[in-house]
Amino acid sequence: MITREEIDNLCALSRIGATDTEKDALLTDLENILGYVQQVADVDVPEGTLPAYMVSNVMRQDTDAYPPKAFTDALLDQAPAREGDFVKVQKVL
Amino acid sequence: MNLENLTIKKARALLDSKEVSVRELVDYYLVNIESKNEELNAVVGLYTNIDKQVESAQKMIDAGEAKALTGIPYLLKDNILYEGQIAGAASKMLQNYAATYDSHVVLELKDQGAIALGRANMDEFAMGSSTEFSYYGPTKNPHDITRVPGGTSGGSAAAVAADMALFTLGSDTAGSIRQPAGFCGTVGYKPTYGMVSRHGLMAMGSSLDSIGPMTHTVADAGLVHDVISTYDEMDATNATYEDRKKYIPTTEPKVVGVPRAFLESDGVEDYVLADFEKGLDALRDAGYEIRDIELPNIALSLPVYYIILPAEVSTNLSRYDGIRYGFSKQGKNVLDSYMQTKEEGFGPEARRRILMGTYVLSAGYRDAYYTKAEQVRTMITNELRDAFKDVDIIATPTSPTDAFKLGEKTDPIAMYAADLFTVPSNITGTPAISIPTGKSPDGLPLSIQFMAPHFHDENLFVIGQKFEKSFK
Repeated sequence: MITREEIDNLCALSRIGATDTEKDALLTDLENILGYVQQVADVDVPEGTLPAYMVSNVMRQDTDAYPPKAFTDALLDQAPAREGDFVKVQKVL
Repeated sequence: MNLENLTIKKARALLDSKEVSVRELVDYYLVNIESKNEELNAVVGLYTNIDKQVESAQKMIDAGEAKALTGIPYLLKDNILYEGQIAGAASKMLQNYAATYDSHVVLELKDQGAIALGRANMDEFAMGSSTEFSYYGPTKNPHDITRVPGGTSGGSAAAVAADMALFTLGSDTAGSIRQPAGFCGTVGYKPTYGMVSRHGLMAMGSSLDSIGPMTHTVADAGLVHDVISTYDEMDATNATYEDRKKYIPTTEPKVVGVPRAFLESDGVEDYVLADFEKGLDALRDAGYEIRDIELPNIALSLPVYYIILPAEVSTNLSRYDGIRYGFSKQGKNVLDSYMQTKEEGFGPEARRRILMGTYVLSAGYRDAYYTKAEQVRTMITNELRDAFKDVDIIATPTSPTDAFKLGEKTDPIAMYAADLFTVPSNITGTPAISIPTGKSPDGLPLSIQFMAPHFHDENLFVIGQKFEKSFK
């Protein structure tokens, strides 16, 4: 079953901060949910059964481009921090 | 004039004959929202441009250019975009987010001159079965305010039931239109996957999400569906008219299949089954043949869903990072900002599912859970396709119980069970409709669900209208 270390790792992988108390509760919840979905892992699937996501890609022509800056302001207005026509972020490197 | 419990059809007639103006109609619903919403919490915000919409709809009617939904007031679930207006997904993460473009469904409704009044409450990012996971607090069931309205489109369902709009749009990923519709005594319809563009619907489970209407009658649901189901190249999963045509039925439905063993699953209440039998009687009276069918793996749809959906959620919700839009909490560096933004911005169920999805997609578990679930999904879809060679429609109750009490379900898995009968049509991509039937011993609405083969949506409206007339 799932361990407390795995919960720490899942939080790190998904970039979700959580307190220790919350992680303990998540451990119980995820254990229960995994116990519930185990019946799927136990199904005998006939050989050659493809996963349902094996479908074809749909592409469209990259035409009718929007004029430059058509949505720039609308989109940047939603950014938490803006500098000119850029989204302002913390130092990355 | 008494405007209580109008249908879209009746309202259309009143507007076209000038017995009622768009303003009068809109005001009737706005007054209802004003007077009932404090108790019900079904509506989480009104749009700021209602007056303009009213004016232009009235002009269309006066010029004799009215369309099916001109002047018809509606509400949108809080996860569907209307340009310039808040669309919050009932999450702290997006509580101040103003949509930067119109969803496809809204574009079509604008073209009709329908009146968007505002946004309806929901479970955060459409995860839940009771609307209790809303950042704005739970919606109450109009039939009993100690009960949930169902979810996740609980605000949309309660709003129609409480006469706050003539129709609402919801989204359905495991039953989120049909289950709340059933709990609130309204019609709820989920189209075939690929019938209605999700462009502008906030993605949760991309292989499962559908947009559909909640209305007072089956005919009204059909009217709304006709308007919003136009082809849209902005959603790559939207089927072209050519593709749809290949599947469209040439005959009306005659035979209704009943998966008996599935109905006897744990947790299905006796009064639900008794009401369902009355529903079957009504179908017989309307001339349908009822046939028992076997769907040995259909009950696996729910556990399959709780692998596939979290996987898709963990991917789709990773975009809410506090950098480009939405809630943002600044930490000591970029990584810390991500961690704090998602800790504070997402509620408990969203976080639970993101972690669950991350788990089933992580190295070493992917094949055992995610790939396996997608294979079982294929088995269930094939099984259903085979069943539809013998029957035209499959009937089940919509939900295993009536509307439960607020706060009653604290265990996530107990909450998940509410979607038992609705989730198969999402797993398989087939259309389904929920129609009100009788009452439970506690006087709450019950309902029946009809499923049809892919792109046989029209047949659901046919059998649904006959059922409405026949059920006593």
